[in-house]
Amino acid sequence: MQALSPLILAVLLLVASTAAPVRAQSPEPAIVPKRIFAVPPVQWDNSLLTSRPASQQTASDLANLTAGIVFGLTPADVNTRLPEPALGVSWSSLPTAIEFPEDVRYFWTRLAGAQDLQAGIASCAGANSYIVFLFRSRGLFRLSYRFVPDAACPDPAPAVADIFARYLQIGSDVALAVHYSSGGVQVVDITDPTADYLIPLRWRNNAR
Amino acid sequence: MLGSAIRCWALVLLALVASSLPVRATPVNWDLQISPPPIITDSTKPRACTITWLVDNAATNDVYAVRMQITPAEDATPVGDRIPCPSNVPPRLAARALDVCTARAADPRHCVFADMGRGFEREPDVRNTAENAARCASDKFTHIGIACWKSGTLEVCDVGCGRSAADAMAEARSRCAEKQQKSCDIAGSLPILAP
Repeated sequence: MQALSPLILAVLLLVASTAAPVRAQSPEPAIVPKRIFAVPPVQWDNSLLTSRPASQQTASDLANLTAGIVFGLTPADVNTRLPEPALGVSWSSLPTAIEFPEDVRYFWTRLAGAQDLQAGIASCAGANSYIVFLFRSRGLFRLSYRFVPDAACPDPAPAVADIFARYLQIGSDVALAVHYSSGGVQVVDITDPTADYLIPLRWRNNAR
Repeated sequence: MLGSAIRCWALVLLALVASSLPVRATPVNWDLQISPPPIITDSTKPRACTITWLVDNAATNDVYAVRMQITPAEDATPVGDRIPCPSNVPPRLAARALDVCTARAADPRHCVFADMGRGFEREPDVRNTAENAARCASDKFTHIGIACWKSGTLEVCDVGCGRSAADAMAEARSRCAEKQQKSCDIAGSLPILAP
């Protein structure tokens, strides 16, 4: 067997190197995590005809998330459960929420000082974000988280998701958590499911 | 003869004496010093079928995982450690899954199954989504995954099932890339069974 001459060998190597160009592998694009909100499971009977919540929840499950604030409390009762109660909160002293067709009144507190009510938030929420407590004459029927972006927190979406996920642990037969945005403000409403026709009514941000 | 008569009388006397003694109930010690048995949970018991749907609010891009647990028939035979899921899933289960979104949406028309067809970004409607591809069953898989690409503010997604979190996400990314002809780098997954 005759050895290849150095010249032929060099030509072959050259051809091989040009025929199979080395491709610079583009790096795999990084995965952006997508959050999936799990809600309490539903239990179906074996014939798949009837269903019920797989676990029974009550108002105390909601109270565990809200430092004892539950639907039906009076404005004064809600106020006393806040870390920094305001002075003189009572039904007669509250302003009217005009977006509702009946006499609904409210007061608000800053999210930053709300301690247990902001538990679970792992990222910036916006310094001007706040929680509104909405009442009809028979008591509290909605907590409304309003996330207001600012220069230090231009996108509070992760904080919104943290709060939304926290309340989605509670079945909609105890508290209905809803997420929407209005005029650049992200809103998470936690509404009493017995609030009938007030349930679908949402806040409109007229500030912008 | 006399001896046997005496023995007979002696027996009668003994019986009389014995019957005149007060009868005392002897206390029985029922305390067998046995501690109460621990609550035994059968860790090998097969888990009932769960079918998990992913539904999406196209206005907010919120994706909900809705787990439907199905009570097994009394004679259900597990395959491995899993109870088989029904081969036919009635539409009412899917409708109930979609309800989780519609109850929370400003407009119910924003709620769709999370497995979207090509062109969903132009026609974001539930008719342009696949209900049967937006669910995974626990008798065949352990995880459900989602992968999306972004068209403006709208996330267009597809769903995959797998036997691990990574597997389900890879399946969803592959399905999304194939259907949407896009790189679907927004992705996530979660177990089919409730914790």
